[in-house]
Amino acid sequence: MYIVKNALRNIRRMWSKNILIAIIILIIGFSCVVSLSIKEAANTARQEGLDAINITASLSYDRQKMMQGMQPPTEGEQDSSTAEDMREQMRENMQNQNLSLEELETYAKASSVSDFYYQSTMSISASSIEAIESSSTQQFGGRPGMMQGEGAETSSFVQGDFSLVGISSASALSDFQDGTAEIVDGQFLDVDDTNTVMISEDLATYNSLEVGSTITLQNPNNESETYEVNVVGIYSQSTDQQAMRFQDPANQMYTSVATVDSIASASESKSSETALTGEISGTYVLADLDAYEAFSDEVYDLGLSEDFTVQSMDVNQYEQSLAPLENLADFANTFFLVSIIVGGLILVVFQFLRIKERTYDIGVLRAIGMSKFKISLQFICELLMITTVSLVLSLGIGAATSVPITNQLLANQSTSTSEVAMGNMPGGMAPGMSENSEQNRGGFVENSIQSVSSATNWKVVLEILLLGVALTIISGSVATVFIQRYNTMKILQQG
Amino acid sequence: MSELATKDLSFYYTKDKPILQQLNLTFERGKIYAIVGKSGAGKTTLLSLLSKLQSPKEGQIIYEDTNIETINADRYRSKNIGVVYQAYNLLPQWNAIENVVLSLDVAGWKDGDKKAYAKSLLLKLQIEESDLYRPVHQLSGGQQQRVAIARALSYNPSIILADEPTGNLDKATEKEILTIFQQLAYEENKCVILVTHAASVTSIADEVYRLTR
Ligand SMILES: Nc1ncnc2c1ncn2[C@@H]1O[C@H](COP(=O)(O)OP(=O)(O)O)[C@@H](O)[C@H]1O
Ligand SMILES: [Mg+2]
Repeated sequence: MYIVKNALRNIRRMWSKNILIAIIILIIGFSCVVSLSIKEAANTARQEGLDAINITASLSYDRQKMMQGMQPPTEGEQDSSTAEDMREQMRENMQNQNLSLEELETYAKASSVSDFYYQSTMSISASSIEAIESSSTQQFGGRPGMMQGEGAETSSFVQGDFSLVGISSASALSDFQDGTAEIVDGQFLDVDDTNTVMISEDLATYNSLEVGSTITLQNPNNESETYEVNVVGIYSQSTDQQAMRFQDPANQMYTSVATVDSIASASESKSSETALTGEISGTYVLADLDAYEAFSDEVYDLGLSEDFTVQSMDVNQYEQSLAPLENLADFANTFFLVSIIVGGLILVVFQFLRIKERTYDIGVLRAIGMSKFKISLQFICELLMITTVSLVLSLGIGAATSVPITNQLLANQSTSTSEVAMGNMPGGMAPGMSENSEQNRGGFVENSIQSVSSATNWKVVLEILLLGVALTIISGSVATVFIQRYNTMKILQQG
Repeated sequence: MSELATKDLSFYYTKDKPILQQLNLTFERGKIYAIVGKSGAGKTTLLSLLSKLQSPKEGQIIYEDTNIETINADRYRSKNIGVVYQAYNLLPQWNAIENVVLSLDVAGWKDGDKKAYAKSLLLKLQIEESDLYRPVHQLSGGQQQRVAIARALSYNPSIILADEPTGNLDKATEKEILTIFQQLAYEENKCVILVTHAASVTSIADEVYRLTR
């Protein structure tokens, strides 16, 4: 086909002008490859990351929802409810915030749940040992730090210096699973035993305790009420996650749920006024994101009140870790659109000027009887060749550089995001989540995705191919319109 | 039978100013025709009608018994007539051979060594071998005129039309070019139509049509 041959000849003849167009297309193409690759990287990272993480979830009371449900009537509407009524209602709601073990176990029967365990946490004192007092303890959780305004009866209730955490199974202590904590002496407690505890290395040293020692626990509200437990294990825990706790984690003793239950019932039989109680929090293990989403629906079918929601620190945290990448993907999206539009416009203008410059050539071709269709075809053919070469090059360069570019942008992005994230740390966590969330709070910034391994994939190639076709059609139609409107009589007037 | 004829041909750009009125002209093969007239008389307009760059307002142009209105304009220009434009209208960046081969391609010539054929044609029209491969904008007016003639002849049309073919040439070159037209008419049996206002061109014509308004 002589049109192809002539197109090649024209490209060669007008090398310098065509190289300029080629560079413009190369830049547009490169921007598009990189931005599309970033989007792909974000998608891939999200999917792969969620596939890889172990999801644990808990049920928590949705304060926000409760507040919404109690919003005052809108203007104009007559309603008898007053501020006093609302306060009353709120107090009532507050008391229903905790789910019983029975309820928790009901939801564990959901088909999406692969494992369920729970903790029962009791605030208690000890007569034989002393608690470690860190600065944060004094600030947040010391003896005088009582909450106000919750009613006269509760304000006289004193919190203990220690937390006795009863676990239903070893998996409830995720720190021991992931290696953040480990046994340094003795052994991990048997959850079937009662009156055995594991204590922290710090607490052991502070009170000269060792495996086999006996600790005498005491009801902080009734000093005559004591319970003896045996130390079976001493653990050490990496200290970097201890910030922002109500109580020094060293004052946490781990035991079986049975121990907490037996202390609670013994205490109840002495006096219901001062009885020690365990606060139960359940954790649901879900195989994957699909299971997590299924669980989020299933709980309501199993009768959970709408005031509660399924929460997963793992998912929240993972999504937060994706934030830099997703911000980048958003940015890439905008960048993609801008480069397409700006690039497309530049190309149209350029193609127009280029054709205008070749008006004489068009006249010559018309004069010797070349059809408008074939002339348009030749111009499109020229552009298609330039576009193809440029886009193939931009794909090559883009594929080679998109990973390092994404990672570099991500590094910049992470720094700025983590600054923001530190400022916006989520506030009041529901009680059931405190164990996990507090340990993770400090850690999530470092966990955010900082690099991607692949970016350009076949989808990007396909999109660039479509882009090439689109660019060619757009600028090709500029040529076609110009040629169609060309008045052949001009040839004679050139004389 | 005439190769080309006009029948009651009328043309105007604006109705109140007719350019051509009821024109009846005949053109035959083997003859040279001169179309003369003052500047603005409508010579170029007539050429544009004969080469189907625009259409008559009234009357017809008959090519070998066919009204050219029924023929595709691109096909007519690329196969049936060869036009040597006043400004030559060659592709300036292309060399002589490429310009000629382009016309052959557009005319739909498929086979044969088109380059060799173009080269022999150009050599016959006295283009130096060394000038064949230079972009035509580097050639002199006379040389470009010859390349334009070669292009018009290349696909072997029966009619050659030329607008002011000697307009930009010196006396000696003019004589050479006119000799070529004589050869075309008398040796190759073409119908040669020259639009001109030069007496030297008129002098070689077999028939002279004068346009007046
Ligand atoms: N495209 C056009 N539109 C309007 N008037 C035109 C156009 N081309 C030529 N004319 C007018 O038609 C007349 C004939 O022009 P033309 O055929 O070029 O004359 P010639 O070639 O004999 O000098 C002139 O008066 C010219 O002004
Ligand atoms: Mg004229």
